[in-house]
Amino acid sequence: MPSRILSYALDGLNAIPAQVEVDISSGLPSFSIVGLPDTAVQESKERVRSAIKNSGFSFPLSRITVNLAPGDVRKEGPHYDLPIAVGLLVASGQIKSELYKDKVFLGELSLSGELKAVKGVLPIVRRAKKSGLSEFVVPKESAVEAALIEGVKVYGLENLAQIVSFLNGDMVVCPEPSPPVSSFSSAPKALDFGEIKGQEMAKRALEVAVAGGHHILMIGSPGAGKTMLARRIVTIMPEMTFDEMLEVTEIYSISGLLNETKLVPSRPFRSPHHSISYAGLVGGGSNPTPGEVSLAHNGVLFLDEFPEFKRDALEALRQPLEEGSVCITRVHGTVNFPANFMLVAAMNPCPCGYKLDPAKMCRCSPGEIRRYWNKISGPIWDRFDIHLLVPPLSVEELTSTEIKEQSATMRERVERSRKIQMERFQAFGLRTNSQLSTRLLKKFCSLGTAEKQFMRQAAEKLNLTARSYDRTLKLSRTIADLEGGENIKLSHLAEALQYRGNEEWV
Amino acid sequence: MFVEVKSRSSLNFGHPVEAITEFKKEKLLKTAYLYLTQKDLIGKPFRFDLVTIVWGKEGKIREISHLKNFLEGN
Repeated sequence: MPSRILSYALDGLNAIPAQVEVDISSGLPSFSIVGLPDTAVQESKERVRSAIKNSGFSFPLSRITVNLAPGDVRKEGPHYDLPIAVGLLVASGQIKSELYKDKVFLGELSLSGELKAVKGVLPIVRRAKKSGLSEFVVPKESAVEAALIEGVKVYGLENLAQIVSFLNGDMVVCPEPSPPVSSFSSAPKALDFGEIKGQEMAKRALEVAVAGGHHILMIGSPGAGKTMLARRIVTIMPEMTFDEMLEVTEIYSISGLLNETKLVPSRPFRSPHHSISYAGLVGGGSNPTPGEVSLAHNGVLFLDEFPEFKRDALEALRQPLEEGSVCITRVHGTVNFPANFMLVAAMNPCPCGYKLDPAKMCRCSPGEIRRYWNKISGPIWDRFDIHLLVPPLSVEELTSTEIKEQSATMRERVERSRKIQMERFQAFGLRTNSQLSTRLLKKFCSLGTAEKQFMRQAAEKLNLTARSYDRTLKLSRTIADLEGGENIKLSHLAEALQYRGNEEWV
Repeated sequence: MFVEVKSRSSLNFGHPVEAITEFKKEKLLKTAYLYLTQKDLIGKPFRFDLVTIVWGKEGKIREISHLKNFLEGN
């Protein structure tokens, strides 16, 4: 009778239950694996054979057939090594008890029989728990990751011999303890907004952007501080909830990017080089892996030198910006990855960078400038709620020793405004003001008479499009929230208008 | 019924069953066909069995196994 071991297959972030069946029958010695195995799984044969022999067990000299059910799901990755080895040892009578029957097995085997960590343990455990499974046997290195999920028993072992002792009842193994809650808060930040001299307008604009989840484009000369400002954005973002941390950790788990702590406690900050490809940015490859937009989930995606990015890569941002996730379609199915991030972009006003600099002369011809700006299409430009000019620092600002406002105080205001937004949107399924639709704008951003009059004049004088109008309202809503006020006042509207893009600059 | 016998005095050079390779299997089949042709028995069903022996001390058998129908032919 074939033995049956429980395991899981990973398809993107989706974990599908798999059963590993091992049958030993009479015939000339052979070892075959069926069930749509990919190359790594085919190579399991060699690893399993050596691991079993080197752990002191006998490898049956018979016709061995391994079936990875279900037969229409592609099996990828080396984590089937362990269930196959266990299945073999059960079928050949070297594992005698039935303790293995209700446990899920995942792990890669080295030739010596040691268990090695595998990717994707967290999403598998998370989903297996939903199906009612609660006991997992994984490599020791992966146990911490699996133990993040509450209410499951995770057995982390180091090698095959230990596993056999455990399953034969000869060895008692304590389940891996869940990491203490205190270890979840992120370490004190190394960066701080207080370090940046001057640029008060920019800091304010970033505070507004983070508070309302508005995407922001910074335009300024080289050396003005755009990159420095961008890197400090995560220091004023509120801490992630545990669920948000799990979401991010899952993505990093399947990408193989988890370090020893096995948890991503702080919001990610991703800053890809502008030569990145479409697939690198959005995700893809024949075996879809998350792209930068997903690695920035619940965090910040910073695109420096914005016009230098490939056109198709930028256009690909549309789906995640609109829906908060990416859907990658391949011949054999689609994979969904979350991608809810704050987009921060930086660029120069012209190819040489000094068009708006009061001191330096711009060397660009009008044609060069036009070509430079044409790289950014209208729809992409429109994705940003805030277009911010970042001027170079004056000498007084540069040499000032005045203490600037720290990130911590800025973050307090942000957290307060986020709370207001959470209460406001409870019934509507939105998270931040930037997600407001036109219909809901009317509901939440109603203006008084004087304010309506002001906006009408502004719309006329400044030639506001409908979208710019809506955007101004959204931003004023956030600015009012930061002050803690219910009503949108003239000062809020005025500030919001400052952040609209104006191509007359160049 | 054809029986192929393989034996080893120790397992240092592998179990006798590991000595069966594709080449040898073909050779066995060709030999069988030659025999059947000579005896005018083509078309009659036949079976190929394998007996493997691992010798122990003093001429005693340590392990013996009989594998039925280990080779398919036409």
